[in-house]
Amino acid sequence: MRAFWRNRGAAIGAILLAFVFTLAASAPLLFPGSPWDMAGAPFSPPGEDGFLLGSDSLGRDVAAGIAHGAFVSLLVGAVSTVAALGIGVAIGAVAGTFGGWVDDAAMRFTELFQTVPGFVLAVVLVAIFTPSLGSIVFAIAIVSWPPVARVVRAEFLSLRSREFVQAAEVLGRSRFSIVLRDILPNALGPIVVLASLMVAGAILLEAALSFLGLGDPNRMSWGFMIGQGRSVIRLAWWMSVFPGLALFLTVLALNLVGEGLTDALNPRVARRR
Amino acid sequence: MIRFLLLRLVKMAAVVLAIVVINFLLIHAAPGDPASVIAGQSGAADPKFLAQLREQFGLDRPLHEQLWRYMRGVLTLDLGVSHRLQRPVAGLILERLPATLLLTGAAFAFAVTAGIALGAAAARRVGSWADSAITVLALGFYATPIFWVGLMLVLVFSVWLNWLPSFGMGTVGTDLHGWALVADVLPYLVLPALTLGLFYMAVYARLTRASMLEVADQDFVRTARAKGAPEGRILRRHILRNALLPVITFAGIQAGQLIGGSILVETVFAWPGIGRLAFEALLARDYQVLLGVFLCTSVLVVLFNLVTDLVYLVADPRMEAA
Amino acid sequence: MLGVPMLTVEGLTVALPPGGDRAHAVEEVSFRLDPGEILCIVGESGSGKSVSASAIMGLLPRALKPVAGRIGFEGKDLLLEGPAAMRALRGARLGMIFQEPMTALNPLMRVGDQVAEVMQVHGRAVGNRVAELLDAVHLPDPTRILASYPHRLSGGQRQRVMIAMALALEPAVLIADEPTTALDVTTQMQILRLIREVQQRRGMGVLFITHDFGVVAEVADRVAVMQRGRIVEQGAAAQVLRAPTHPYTQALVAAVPHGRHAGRAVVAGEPVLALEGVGKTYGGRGLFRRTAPVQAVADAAFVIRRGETLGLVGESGSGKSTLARCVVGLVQADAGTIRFHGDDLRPLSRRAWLPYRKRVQMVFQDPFASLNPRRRVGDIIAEGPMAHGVSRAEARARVAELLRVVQLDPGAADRFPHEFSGGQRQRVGIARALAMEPELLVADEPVSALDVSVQAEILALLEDLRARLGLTMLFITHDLRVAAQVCDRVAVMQRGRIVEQGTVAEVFERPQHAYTRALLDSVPGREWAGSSVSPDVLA
Repeated sequence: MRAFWRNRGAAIGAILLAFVFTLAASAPLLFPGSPWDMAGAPFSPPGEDGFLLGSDSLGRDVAAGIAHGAFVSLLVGAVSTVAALGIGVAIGAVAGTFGGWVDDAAMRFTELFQTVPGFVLAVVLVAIFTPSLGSIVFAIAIVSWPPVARVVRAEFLSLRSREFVQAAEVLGRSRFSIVLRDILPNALGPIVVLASLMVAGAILLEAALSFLGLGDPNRMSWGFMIGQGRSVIRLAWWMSVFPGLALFLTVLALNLVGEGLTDALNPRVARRR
Repeated sequence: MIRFLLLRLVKMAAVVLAIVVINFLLIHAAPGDPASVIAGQSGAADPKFLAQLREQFGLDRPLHEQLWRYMRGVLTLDLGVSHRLQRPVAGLILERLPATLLLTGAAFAFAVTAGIALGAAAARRVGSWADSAITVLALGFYATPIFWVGLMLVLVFSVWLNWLPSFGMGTVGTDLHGWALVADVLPYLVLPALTLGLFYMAVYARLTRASMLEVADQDFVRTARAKGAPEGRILRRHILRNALLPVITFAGIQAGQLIGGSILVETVFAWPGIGRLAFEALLARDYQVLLGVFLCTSVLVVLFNLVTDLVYLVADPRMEAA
Repeated sequence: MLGVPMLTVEGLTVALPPGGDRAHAVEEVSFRLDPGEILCIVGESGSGKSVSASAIMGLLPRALKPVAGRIGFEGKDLLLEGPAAMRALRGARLGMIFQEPMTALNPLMRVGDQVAEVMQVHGRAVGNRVAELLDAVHLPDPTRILASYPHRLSGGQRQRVMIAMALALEPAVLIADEPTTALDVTTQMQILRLIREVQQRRGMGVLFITHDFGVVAEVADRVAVMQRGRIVEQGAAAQVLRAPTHPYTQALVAAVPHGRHAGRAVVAGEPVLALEGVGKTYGGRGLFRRTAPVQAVADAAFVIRRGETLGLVGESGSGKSTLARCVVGLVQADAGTIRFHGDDLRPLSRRAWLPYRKRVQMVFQDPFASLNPRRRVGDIIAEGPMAHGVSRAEARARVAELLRVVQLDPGAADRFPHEFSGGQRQRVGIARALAMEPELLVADEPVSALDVSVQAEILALLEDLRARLGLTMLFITHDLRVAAQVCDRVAVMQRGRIVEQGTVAEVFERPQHAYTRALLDSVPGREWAGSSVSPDVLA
């Protein structure tokens, strides 16, 4: 019964995600032209004046903004996760493979970044390097790699003491070949699960940054739209409700997929009683 | 115990020092002249002010000397001057700090108690509709952007129902003390604390549930059953106590996020804490203030981590060996 | 003893969840337990012996349901009792101890509180009882121990606490589920004696579950043998152990390491491996950590000659595995010399070790952990030679031959490790080592994770390979019976030091060191093994 529900959850997540992807890809077709352009009367409620989801204080179409914003969310989520994975896997692998003082130093470095309040650091980074897609991705990657490094290191350490890795050592195989064939494939499960959750986290972070006005000024994004709606919530609730819903559903979908992956890749956790 | 504390203090000092260095590097890594970074782009027009800044920071000196100067300044609580307000940054932060501590403290207390209660309830009836409901609820809050939750709560409880105030921290223009002040502030605290707390409540509920199911499978629980102990007692005395250890660890790890989240919540509710200060500084490109807030929140996290370490030390007798 | 049995199990059948390899965990199981006797239920893993015990206690996992039979105890059928009634019996009339003493106690509760809990939940006064009980199981300084947390206690001490807990309300029946399996051999003997002692003092019935016939010989009055969920033979201990009638029991008894030496000629080849003054100390440095240094191995010296098998025996923590890992370079020793045909291996770098990798190989303990779960068996066996420049085609061509040598089907090459049983995996591990055509084979507890019948097969395979290929072996084991059976000479380790070494006959017949004598005295079932067919060195 639970297994069924969980699988259903993962399936719903996957479908939602596919929908968001389609929306992002077809935004230029569905809503040609810039989402920044005025398209009608300001503050039109949903359904009126040809606005499916209403218009904002400058008469921009909320639905168009959501469609175009999907692209930014997914792009930032994916790219910054890849970047964070790169940093985290490299540092974790080095720490876990070499051990000793290298491990100590790498872990102190990781701890430092884990202690620093990540969101505040991201705000400072984006503010100082001026908001752009590049600085946003950079800031998100800088604050989200530490868990990856820790997981990778822990996996490497536990795998390194496993007997099949010791057997490979005794056979005289090269370090590189051991990491590539014996350690990484067995450490992949937890990394994949973590990555799916990190994409969700990165999307939330990007939204929070652009909510504070630190988004890329050339790109429409969900966080920016919610930020615009904040001061006029008594006047136009739809301006903040719909982009927020889009954000919620996307992140929920990613979390559902992540949980499904956890169950699939780590049957020990998925045990039922 | 003493050794452990000393070690922790040394480590804390090292972390704070490292953050000061990061701050310094950030000023210098930013594109353009450090003086104009410090001055903020909007205030960069006045050449006299820039010259004054260069003099103050010794920007014509070698880098290591500048770093030393900067660190000495931080140690004496000199975090520079806000060009927007023309006041020392340290004073600004200290003035706003109590509001932030009140908000995060209230949110944390709510998140921990509600999260553990819900997680334990879910684990106890695993597979039931109550468990599913709690799991779905947790999953939902887990996926909701914190600032949006705040806006939605404002929409429902302030705009539509008109039950609670939507911004500020107390009635404007009153000068209250004691219980009257508490009674005045409390309604203003509810929505921000709830907003900040709901996400972490979800986190703790999920963690408690998973941890309890894990502990329930362990050998000592079977031992307790073999003694003939009733299920309620097993749950309280054996499962829950052990299951809370990872929750303590996690609370420490999450401290940074909690404080980061307060920036967003304070922005939504115009709560006059350091988060709001950071947002105002952001709008005015007042980087001295922003970096000061960064340092201050980092120190808060370090202190909070020390507290969770101490709690863990008390909670787990095995730690005495470490 | 005679009269009314204390506990009767009749036709007990417990269903497994659908989709398993069989329909029932236990099927039609019947036995009785009389007051004042110890009944041993013996069987290999998966035989259903622990399920039977859990059924009596009413502690079956939710997935397992009893579907037939009755369990008679004090005039009741325990299968029909409700949860509250079972709770009242557990701890009070039915006591139980478990296999893993390290995890069976709540780490956050003081030992005294955990023992007192038994009395509290049954509404009895605690008073001074806890200290008395701890004293009764011969724990030193009971007042100190009852105020300690479990992590302060050794495995043996924790198992004594468990026994004290089980005895607190003087139950009529004590169920002991593999209570000594996780313990070292000397501790095992102490616990076995303690169980015997309290059982006789109180006239309890004890249901003792084990896989070890040595332990059976040590404690049992009567024996029931289980295979795949059924009892295949039961009777008085002496009769089942000496004249088993069922073929399965006969096979099991025959597979018990007999400790009889093969009686090979004394080997006098040239030295292959010579250790002198080898030491390894762990711990010490670290940027923010500081741990007390632990001397794992100190001043170890021995020589292995061509064609000889040297056994390294000792209890857990004696340093025998660390020493073996020093020999193969998995652990870098920090003192002494490790000469292989005269060349000192100890200071060699990773690269300098390479030429010796072909000549020195290792077989590991855990057949489930020693094979990469994501690689096919053929690749696992071929990758050693390939790392040393043998072409892929050539290495793969040899795989079939190697599989035949270890008596596996050549088709095994295309399958993954999880498709094999523990014994088959261990054969793959041996084939992997043999692929390098080594002169010296280091075997680290190669059979201790295996069931007794599989153990016998692997030992026979190793013996066969040693004879055919002229292997020289360093054989690490905690089991003296195994050591006596496969080794020419043995070295006994205690706390990182070799305390005694010599030929098997010398060491086991005329032990010089007190520790060796204690070890030999603790081998379970010595007298039984000693009085069987032929004289042996463990008599």
